[in-house]
Amino acid sequence: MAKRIEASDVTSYYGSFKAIDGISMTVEPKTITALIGPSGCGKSTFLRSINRMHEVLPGARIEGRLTIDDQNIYDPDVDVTAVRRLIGMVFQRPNPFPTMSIYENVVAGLRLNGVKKKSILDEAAEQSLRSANLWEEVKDRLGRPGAGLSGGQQQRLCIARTIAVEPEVVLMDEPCSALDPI
Amino acid sequence: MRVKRLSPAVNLLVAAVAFGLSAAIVLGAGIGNGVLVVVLGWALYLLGILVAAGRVEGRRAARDRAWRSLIYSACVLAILPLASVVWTLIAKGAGRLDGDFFRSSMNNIGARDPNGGAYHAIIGTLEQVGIATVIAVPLGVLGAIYLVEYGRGRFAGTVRFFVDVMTGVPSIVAGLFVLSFWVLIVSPWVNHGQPRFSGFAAALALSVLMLPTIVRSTEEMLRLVPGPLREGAYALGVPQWKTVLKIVIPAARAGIVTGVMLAIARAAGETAPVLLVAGGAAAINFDPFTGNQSALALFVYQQAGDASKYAPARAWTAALTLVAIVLILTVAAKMLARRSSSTR
Repeated sequence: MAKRIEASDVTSYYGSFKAIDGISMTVEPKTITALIGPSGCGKSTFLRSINRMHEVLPGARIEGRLTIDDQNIYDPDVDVTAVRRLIGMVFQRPNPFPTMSIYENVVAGLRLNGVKKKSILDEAAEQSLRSANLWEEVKDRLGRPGAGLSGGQQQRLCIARTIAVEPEVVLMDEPCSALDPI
Repeated sequence: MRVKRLSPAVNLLVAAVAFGLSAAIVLGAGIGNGVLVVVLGWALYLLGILVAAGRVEGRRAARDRAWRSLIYSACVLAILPLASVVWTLIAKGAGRLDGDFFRSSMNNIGARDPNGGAYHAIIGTLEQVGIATVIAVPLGVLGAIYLVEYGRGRFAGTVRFFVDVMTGVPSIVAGLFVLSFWVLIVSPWVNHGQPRFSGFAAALALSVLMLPTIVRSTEEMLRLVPGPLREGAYALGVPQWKTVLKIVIPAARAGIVTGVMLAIARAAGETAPVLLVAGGAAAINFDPFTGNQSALALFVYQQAGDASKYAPARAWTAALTLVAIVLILTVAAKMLARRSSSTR
């Protein structure tokens, strides 16, 4: 089931600095929505609010309501990790886990959330890597370290890693700024 | 387009002239010995190369040469004491490097007995440092994880402050602390009211010394792990504790191991706490919880001050053994850390 995201009057702070002020918007299920704006206008901040990555930074907090199918993700009884499993994120800079191989990077999300069965992991790895258009390039060296890939390949690896846990929503924070344009 | 370079022959000539001149001045005037000749010759050589290169290559290249020579000489100066220590240890320690040294203790060894060994001290060092490591490493690494990943606000600041203060605690103070607390207060409970020295007490004192070193070095290493790595794991819905365990610590492992090995090396070289709370012993004692124990550093201290003419040789060999043990441990730990991170 795809999910509808609704933001109403979302305001984010870094300490006392107000980064975004009263944003309200609706993202319909199964759509691609792009946020456009000048540098430093708060695109990333808003994006990070949607899967509660904003609060990871010290001093950062948020006001207003953000709901996924009418469930406010900032309710006190909501499990942060469940929210993030539902809403994946790809970052501006590729950040593959340096101690892990390509394969381990892709299945890291599944493995660290308790999936152990090899057949499921193998299946998920191939499918995610195919979806991220990386399979053909790395299928013979899945055991090599993920950090040994080129910048663009690393970013596709991170995309594969994100979709391997099958999130309902994927947030992408300028993911292609490190990818080859072709 | 060709750059004019000072030829190696001229370089050698400058060196020869500088050292010749230096020798003539120092020995001619009778104001010093070989050391002064080298020092003065080196200074003259730097000056000479600056002038010669300035003539041939121009001012900038000359300055580059002079600075480079200065940096090289600083490097040599820094390595010299270390090389000298290692050389002295090997040269003087090799004398008693026989099987007997590693098989026997100092039990029943009088002043006129040339044999005797450090078996008991090696056992003591391994046991005490081993127990101290078992105590201090989990505490220290967990403390550092708290400071980096969880600690916010005043409490974390206080912890960090006291860790810094503890780093400067002299080892004799740690020894006195364990003496007054463990040996005099706790140990009588389990020994019919009699206070008792033990290797375990020494291990406690050593762990007090190791703890701040481990916390600080681990903290620095964890801080070097980039934030985006943590965020990448959080964004996959991985809980914080698992992120720390599976992502952050593996990324920082090599540095953490280095810090732990530094702490172990420091603990293995401590004399004062062992002297205060383990008491020292001449006989073999495998039990760290009962009775006096010795340790290599303490053995060195005792043998170096002993009146027997055979004692200094034993002290040197024990010192060599101590350095070798620390070296072997360090190399082994580094190889383990590297292998496990590459095959995972």
